[in-house]
Parts: sequence; structure tokens; C-alpha cells
Amino acid sequence: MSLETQAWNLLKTVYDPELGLDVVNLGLVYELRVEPPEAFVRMTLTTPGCPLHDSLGEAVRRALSALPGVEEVRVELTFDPPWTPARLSPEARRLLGWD
Amino acid sequence: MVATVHTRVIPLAVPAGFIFLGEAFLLWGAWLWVLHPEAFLVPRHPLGLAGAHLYLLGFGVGVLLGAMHQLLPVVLEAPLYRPALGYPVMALWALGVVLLALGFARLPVLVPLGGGLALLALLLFAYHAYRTFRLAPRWNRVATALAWVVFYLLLTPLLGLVQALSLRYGFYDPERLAWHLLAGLGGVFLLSILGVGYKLVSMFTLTHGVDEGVLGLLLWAANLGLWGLALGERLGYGLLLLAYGLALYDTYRILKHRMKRALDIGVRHYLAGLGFLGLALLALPFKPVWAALWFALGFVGLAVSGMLYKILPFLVWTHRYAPRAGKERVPLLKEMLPEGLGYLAGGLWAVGALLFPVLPQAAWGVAVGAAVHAYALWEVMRR
Repeated sequence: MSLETQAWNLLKTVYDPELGLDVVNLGLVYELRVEPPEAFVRMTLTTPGCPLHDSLGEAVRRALSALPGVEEVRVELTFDPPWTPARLSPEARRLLGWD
Repeated sequence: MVATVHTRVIPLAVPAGFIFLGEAFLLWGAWLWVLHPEAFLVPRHPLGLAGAHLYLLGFGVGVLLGAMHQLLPVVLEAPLYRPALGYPVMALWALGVVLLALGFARLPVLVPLGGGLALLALLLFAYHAYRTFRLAPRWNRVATALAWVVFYLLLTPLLGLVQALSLRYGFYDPERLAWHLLAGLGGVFLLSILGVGYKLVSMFTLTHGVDEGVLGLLLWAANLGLWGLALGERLGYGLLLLAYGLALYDTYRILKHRMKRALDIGVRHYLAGLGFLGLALLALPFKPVWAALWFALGFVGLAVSGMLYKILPFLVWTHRYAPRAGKERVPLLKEMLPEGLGYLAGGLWAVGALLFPVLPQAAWGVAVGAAVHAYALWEVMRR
């Protein structure tokens, strides 16, 4: 399994505790680069000022720290572009009660 | 921006301290309701005044202050100016509530002292809120609602203190009691619940794309309505009805655009609270005491208790589980709340509040509901 696939799988273990959905299916991850010894994630939150501002970024950093050969994880939070419900995966829509 | 840990995390003791002191005041007030329900059905009964201040200033304002320490950064997208200022605010406010309750119930000389301490607490909170408002990178209408709430948080105890001192120095005017009530019930609770409700219900239902225009109109209508009522203008009542209609319309728009289909316990309590608000507004011209009871026990009680089922698990999760998220499985927020107890509490509370104006024994419903509610929150702390 490639490092990038492992990284996406690790990101799927990071949940929004309110919605019960992981950051990948929520569509929060805009960019992922794994170039040992560094990994980089550019991600957003569902709303600016989200109270999970610090928690989710740190959770992503901790999750990706488990990648072999990765010593530093940089997580960039951005609201440009802002998150919209169109970024939800079909699986997320199903779990939220639609489709 | 690179994420850093704890840049916006408030010490748990600040919001949780306000919340659990508020719960203690709620239970103290509930004890008075069941022992002396008659005191709450006539204006200005000493025990009624003690119970009203325990419930509104103790429980309602306590939860509001605790929640605002968490909500201001969310609404303003900026950190709190000095989170530690929450501690002296909490100490002054709690002591003020105790002295006010004892003063109204037993020793009237304590009333101005308790009121003075509460005012001091709220002045300090207002300063803290003002400095935090100034850190906001941009403004929005929920922030406007919170700014109005801070204004009324100062006006209400000022009017109450003038009332208490006027009794001693001989310039008492019964009309000022109505102003105190309008500023407290309407200015603080109506604006905070409807203003914050827009933000929280949108977040809990994962709603996007509902503009703040209706909330802006609502704030105008509610403010002018309150001032109109204070000045004895009938138009004020009409404007409050308009504000209520706008709140219903906004809630409808939020729910229509929601991405999370199932309504959770917080949203259901909020909707039940809105029902009580309508009931209170309809009763206002004919049965003002009934209206005040339905507003306070029904609207404020259900909306505030419901929001706590969302806010407290989040606070505890942030401090207990967030440092482990990403490394191991951590619970979801809904797993931290004994939801069945929350619904039981809400049901008892709602039935009790509905019947209380005509059946004083219904105070038991509210009191038992309040006790179950407090226990459910305590369980959140243990999970």
C-alpha cells in the first residue's frame, strides 16, 4: 500500500465528534502530500470559527505521525475556499440521513 | 495558518464552573417552587423574588456567561481577550446571587449588596466581552445580538439596583420593575437565545447558505418592541410578535437547508422553547404573570437546558478526549450524554411549565425535570 493511501486511511480515523463523520468523507481535506520525512495537509472546517478549530488540526497531525518515515506533519487550516455541503461524500450524505 | 494546539481552548473550569454553579442555583430555586408554589403566582412575593433571581440570574445568566466564554470565539472568529477574567466574574456573580436570594427571602438589607456584586461581575464581563469584540476580524449579526445582550446584562441589574435602593430612600416607582423585567427577560434572554440559536442550530444541523438578513431584522424588531413596551406603546407588542414571526421563519429556513437530517436533542429542546415563546407572547396582554412563567420556565428553561446538552459534552470532549483524537478511538459527543435522561427531563420540565400557571403542584414537574437535567449533565462530566 502506498504511503499516500496509508495517509488517507489514517485521516479516515479522525472524526468530527459532533457529526460522527471522518474528515475525509466530510470533504475537509483540500490537499495531502507525503514526502518523508514530512507530510503536509491543507484542510478546512465546516464553518469559520468552528469550536473544533484546534482539536481537529492536532488530531490530523497526530494521525499522520504514525506514517512510516514521517517525522514532521504540517497542518494548514484555511477557509479559502470555504467548505460547502457539496464537498460531502456520498457515504457522508447517507450517514447524515439523506440519499 | 498552521494549526497550533490550544490557541482557542478556554480552561474547562471557566464555562463548566458557571454551568454547574448555575445548576446549583436552579436546584435551589426548584426547591422553593415545590415548597412555595404560591409565591410565584403573585407579583413581588419575597420568596418569589428569591426564586426568580436564583432561576434567572443564577441559572439563566450563569449558563449564558459560561456559554459566552465558549461562544464568543466561535461567533467572532477570534480568541477571548483574557480567559482568566472569567474567574473573578464567576466569584462576584455567584456571591451576588447567593446574597440576593438570601436577601429577598430573609434579610432585605442584603439585596443591594447582592445586586451590587452581580452588577460588578457583569461590568467586568462586559469589559472582557468588549475587548474580545475588538479582536474580531469581521463583524456579523450574531455578534450584534451578543453585543446587545451584553448591554442588557448591564442595564438589567442597574435597573434592579435602582429599584432596591429606591425602596430604602423613598423614590420607589413600580413601573421600573417592569423595565427591569423587560430588560432581563426580553433584552438578555430573548436576544441571546434567538441570536445564539441562529448560530447553534445552524451548526448542529450542518446548515449552510442561510443569510443573516432575517436575524438582523429580528434584532431591530425585538429591540424596538422591548423599548415600545417599556414606554407603554402598544406598537411594542406588535413588534415583538413580528420578531417572533421572524424567528420562526429563520428557524424554518435553517431546518429546510440542513444537511444533518435527524434533529438532535438540543434542536428539539430549542423548538419546544420556541413553542413556549409563542404561548407567552399570546398570553402577554391578558395574563402577564402566565406569560412571564411560560417565558421563563418554558422558553428559557427548555432552550437553555437543551443547549447545555450540546455545549457541555463538547467542552468535556475538548479537554478530555481531543488530546487523544487521531491516536485512538475517542467517543462521539452524543455518546457522552445519557440522552434518554435528557428527554425525560425535558418532558417533565415542559409539562410542569405548561401547567404551572393553573396548577401550582405542577412545580414538581419542573423541579424533578431540573433535577434529572442536572444529573444528566453530571453524567457527562463522568463519561
